[in-house]
Amino acid sequence: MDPIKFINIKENILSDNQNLAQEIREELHAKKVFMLNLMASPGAGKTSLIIETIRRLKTEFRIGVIEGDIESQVDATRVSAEGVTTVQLRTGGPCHLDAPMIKAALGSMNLESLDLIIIENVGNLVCPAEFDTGADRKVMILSVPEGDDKVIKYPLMFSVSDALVLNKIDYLALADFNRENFREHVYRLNPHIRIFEASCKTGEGLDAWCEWLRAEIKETN
Amino acid sequence: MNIHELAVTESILKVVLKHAEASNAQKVVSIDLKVGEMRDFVEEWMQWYFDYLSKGTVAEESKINVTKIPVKFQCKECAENFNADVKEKEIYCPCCESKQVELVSGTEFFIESIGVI
Repeated sequence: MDPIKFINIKENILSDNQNLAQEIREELHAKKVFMLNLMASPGAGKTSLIIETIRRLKTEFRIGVIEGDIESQVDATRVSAEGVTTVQLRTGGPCHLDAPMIKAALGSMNLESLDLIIIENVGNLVCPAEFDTGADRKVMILSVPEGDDKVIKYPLMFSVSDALVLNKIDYLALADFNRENFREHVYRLNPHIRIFEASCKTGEGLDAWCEWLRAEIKETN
Repeated sequence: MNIHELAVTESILKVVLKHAEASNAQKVVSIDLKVGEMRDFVEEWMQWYFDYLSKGTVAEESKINVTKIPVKFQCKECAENFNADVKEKEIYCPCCESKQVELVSGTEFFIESIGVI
């Protein structure tokens, strides 16, 4: 029998997805389109943050939204009511969006007529952290009622995100949420992350979030 | 069936087959993965999915070996590197007791090598 030969690979397990994600990024840069991947648990406020962001930025940027949802199109209906281009991806099972799905969604959008695309990823703090979608920035939302221990339970998501919106801060008085501990735990996993405390209900903190996003879009394009 | 693990396994198979073909391998007998402890990776299912997906390919019946890479932090005060459980509420540097620490490993997710004939 032939001897076994070992071949060094040192290649990322998800390299296929990553290569396609990189192609998507380059294609979008060539067309001066900035893409944001928004990730959070169900009910954290992804759709609400998208709507509030659209309302604040739609006079400056032409915005499109890719909605990832396992079965329904409730979110897409809410977002398209804001008058922006919306593509609904019904994943029908998968717990995350990956680069091939985003590529397909982009194929149905007129990229020449857009400056900003926001991906609403599937509601889940685990799987979306693993898959590069081709977005320029990854942003996660954590809502106060979910608890400050989520950073300990789902560390990968916090370690890969460029920014974190701590939503529903109007609940802080009712919740047992320690902001100092939370920040310390987040920063030890990811010292470069930007944290925005906000409430989509009262509007608090949303201008600071939009200011950051505006600067990131301008820096990239 | 867990679709997340299935998607990850499909990706492993693609990378393995690409390298097997490039080296004209007759058969892939082993696959060595390096996976950081922070990855949500269910090792038990992986082989089962892989056996299912790899039927009829040169990677059929190959054995997946997973080496877990521990979560390590570095102290920003004294530069000490130390292992820690990320699920712990408080993480201190064992050397100077500072809480100013930064993650340095534990998110790895790559195929180290394959054994081929």
